[in-house]
Amino acid sequence: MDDVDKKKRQRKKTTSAQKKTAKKSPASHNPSSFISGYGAGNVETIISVEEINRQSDSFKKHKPSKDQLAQLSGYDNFFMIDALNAGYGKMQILHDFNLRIGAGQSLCIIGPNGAGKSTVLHSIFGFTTIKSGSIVAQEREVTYLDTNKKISYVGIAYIMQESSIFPDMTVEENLWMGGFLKDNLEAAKESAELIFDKYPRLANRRKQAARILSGGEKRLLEIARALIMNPQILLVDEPSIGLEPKYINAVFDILYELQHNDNKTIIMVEQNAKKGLEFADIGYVMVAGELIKADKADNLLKNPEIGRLFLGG
Amino acid sequence: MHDKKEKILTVKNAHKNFGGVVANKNISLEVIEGNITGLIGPNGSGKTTLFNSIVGYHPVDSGQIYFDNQEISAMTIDSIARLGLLRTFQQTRVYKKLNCVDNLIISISNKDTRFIDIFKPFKNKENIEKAHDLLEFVGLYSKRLLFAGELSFGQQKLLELVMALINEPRILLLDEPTAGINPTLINGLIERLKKINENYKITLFIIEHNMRVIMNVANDIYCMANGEIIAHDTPKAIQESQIVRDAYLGQ
Amino acid sequence: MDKKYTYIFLAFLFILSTVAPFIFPNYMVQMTELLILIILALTWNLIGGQMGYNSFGNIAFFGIGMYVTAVLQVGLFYDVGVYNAARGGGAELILSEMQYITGFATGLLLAGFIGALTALFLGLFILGMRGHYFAICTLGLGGMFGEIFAAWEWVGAGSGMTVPNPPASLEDTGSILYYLAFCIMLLTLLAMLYLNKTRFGLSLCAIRDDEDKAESMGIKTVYIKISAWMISAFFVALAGGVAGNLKKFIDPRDTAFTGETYGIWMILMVILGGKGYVWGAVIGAIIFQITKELFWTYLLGWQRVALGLLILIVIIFFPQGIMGTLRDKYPRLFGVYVDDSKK
Repeated sequence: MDDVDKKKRQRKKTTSAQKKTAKKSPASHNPSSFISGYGAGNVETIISVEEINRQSDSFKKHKPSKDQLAQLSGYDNFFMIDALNAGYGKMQILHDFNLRIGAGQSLCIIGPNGAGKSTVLHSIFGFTTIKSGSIVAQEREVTYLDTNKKISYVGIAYIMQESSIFPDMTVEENLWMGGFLKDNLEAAKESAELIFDKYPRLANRRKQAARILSGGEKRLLEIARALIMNPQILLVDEPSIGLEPKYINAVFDILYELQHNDNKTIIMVEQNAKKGLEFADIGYVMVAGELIKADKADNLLKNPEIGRLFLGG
Repeated sequence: MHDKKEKILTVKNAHKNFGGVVANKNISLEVIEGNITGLIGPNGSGKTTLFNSIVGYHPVDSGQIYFDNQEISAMTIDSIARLGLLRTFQQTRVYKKLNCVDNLIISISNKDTRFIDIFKPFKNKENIEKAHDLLEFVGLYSKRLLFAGELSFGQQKLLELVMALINEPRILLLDEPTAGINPTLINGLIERLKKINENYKITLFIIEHNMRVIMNVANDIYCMANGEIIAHDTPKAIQESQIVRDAYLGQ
Repeated sequence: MDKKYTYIFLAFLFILSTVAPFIFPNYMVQMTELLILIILALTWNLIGGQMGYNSFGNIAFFGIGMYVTAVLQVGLFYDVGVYNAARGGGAELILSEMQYITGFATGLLLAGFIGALTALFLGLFILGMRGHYFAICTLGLGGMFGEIFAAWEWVGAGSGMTVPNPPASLEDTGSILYYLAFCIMLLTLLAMLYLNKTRFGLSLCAIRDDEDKAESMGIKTVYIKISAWMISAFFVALAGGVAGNLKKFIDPRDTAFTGETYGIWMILMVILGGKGYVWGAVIGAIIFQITKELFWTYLLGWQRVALGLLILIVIIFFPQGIMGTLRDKYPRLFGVYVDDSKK
């Protein structure tokens, strides 16, 4: 398994020509069902929240070790979280949380509501109170770094769950806002031009107020705005929330391109768990602030227990 | 077969403009009492605008809305709510600085009470018990004493749903109730929605993008695009409809 | 657990207030003023703290209460116009014990009701407005009433009105005022604690957190907002009635509708104690009065500067006030915790 991972990574790193013909093509995220977005399927599996917590206790006995996590990332220490205890104010949410991800890989965290998935992203970005543990990006400790330094020096970008565009500004101005940490406005404008070249859908509407964009375009604008600072690591919180089925696929296609063509590292939280796991290389399962299972995303999708407890059967 | 049943909500030729932009164009629809009716359509097709018009948030420019044969087009939000027509919000809205129990207790229906009754002791055993039961159902019992604002997004969503349930409405308008809820719990929610629909005879009118949800709960589905109703049919027929696929489902 | 603290605090406050006059007999006036300040803080907390409507106009009810009480104290037994025309005189009005008590009691009662009615009348006009707009609308209220009363000959106009002297046979009027203020304060406090348990109290919090949501859940927000302001005004007017008798002389701008002292203080005390906490208002008022008196005694000339600094420090370092800060530090004490026990 270890070797396979290494190979997979090497392939990503080496040939850029091959990337476009990588083994997962964008359209194949969801090959089984004809309805895009959330897919179809039945809704028979009914388990109460308490029951999920109780049943996932059996997983807790075999919590993934740091070595297993490192193995999953192909021993690439590009980004890691070690024994993190964090929360909001006095309330601790994450307990001894570990994470490993290599450059250009994607990781999806799934789990029940309130398991602390978003808290992981918040902690990386600096929105939480960190009690102990460390966060290391590219061999540089960033645990207590200011958020603006994380954006500009380390290259971490955060795409939020709630819509965070400025509705009364134009599309163009919204993009420039993404570059407010750049030294001057010109630099931000230059980056914005690069983004417009990349996404003609946005370029066509650059002078229009952002509020008239459709839901999918708004999400695209949010992603694009995060790209202005040319981040290496993208934190993505529920990319598909509130989107119509067609756009969900479009957004995942964009993320796919960012990972495979631009070699961005993506850490994602997604309640549309099947979709998230189909997209990601690595899958983590969290329950009550703890990491209880980590595996290749494909393996998690195949795991019947995981399917029953976390994917809705 | 539904034809024999009463219409609980009727929208007739509703029209709504926002500064020259047409949000709802000549909308007519009927929700049958006891049914679960779905409303689907692309982002920005005017679904939420229609919900807002129905609950009185912004009145329609022209057209009528009837609840139980009573015209409500020009009524205020709170009086419509007290008739038993309630909605939840897409961007979750709970009382952030009240704890979960209080959030539920304040949501208990007050449609039959006189105004003076609001000065009677209210946080009594019976009401607290009611709140606890519902919190347990959505897995929030252990967090019942936390401020609602301290819950995660998904948990706030669940809280908002049970706040609506404790109000015992006659019809509940749900705006994307399962967005951001984990898949397993969605199944539980669907079962619960079906149950409240059957047991308490609460009619449901649901905006939803998750087809797995809407196809499994709805009796009939309306599809909107560009401010207009483009289709109304059974879930199965909607899934197969070429118009709906082109406008919304894709592929 | 919340209940336990409430009883302890209540008992503590009761005992302290009862014995205080015997321990500090030289500070009767300051202690009476403290009780009045507590009432003002409690009432402002109801609408500014719990309901989240920052009213800068509550001082209007304070002045109205002052005037109504004084007018009744005179008017039941004498011609008010003639009394006030005598300018700071009124020496010719000598009340019997019975007259003094009846006049004062009816005066206070009517003050409360007129205060509440004024709130109803004003509320019908401006409580349809939301948050900030409401706050701006209330900014001018105090000044407006000040000018009205300053132009009203019958109540002494700009030269003010003297509150009738108590009969000489009542020796210790200081104690009478103190215990009267104490009873009103206790009444206000119990009312506020009671309201918290009602649907009304919860509705206030709901309006504060999300008025749209509250409305869409069928809560009659406008009625509730007006009721809250009326309740607030009722007790403020009572406090005003006592305060007028404590000051003995009512100047329309400097004692009755004094936006820059009592009008601002009532807000500061609540912010200091923590917005939305009944006990925060009490604690805020106590700390405020002690600091204020110390400043006035030891920093005379600079007292306002010192007070301004205190406000800055509170807002910068304890924006949530004392109770809010404590709640963040010791959530369990406030009944905020995750309870993992099964139902």
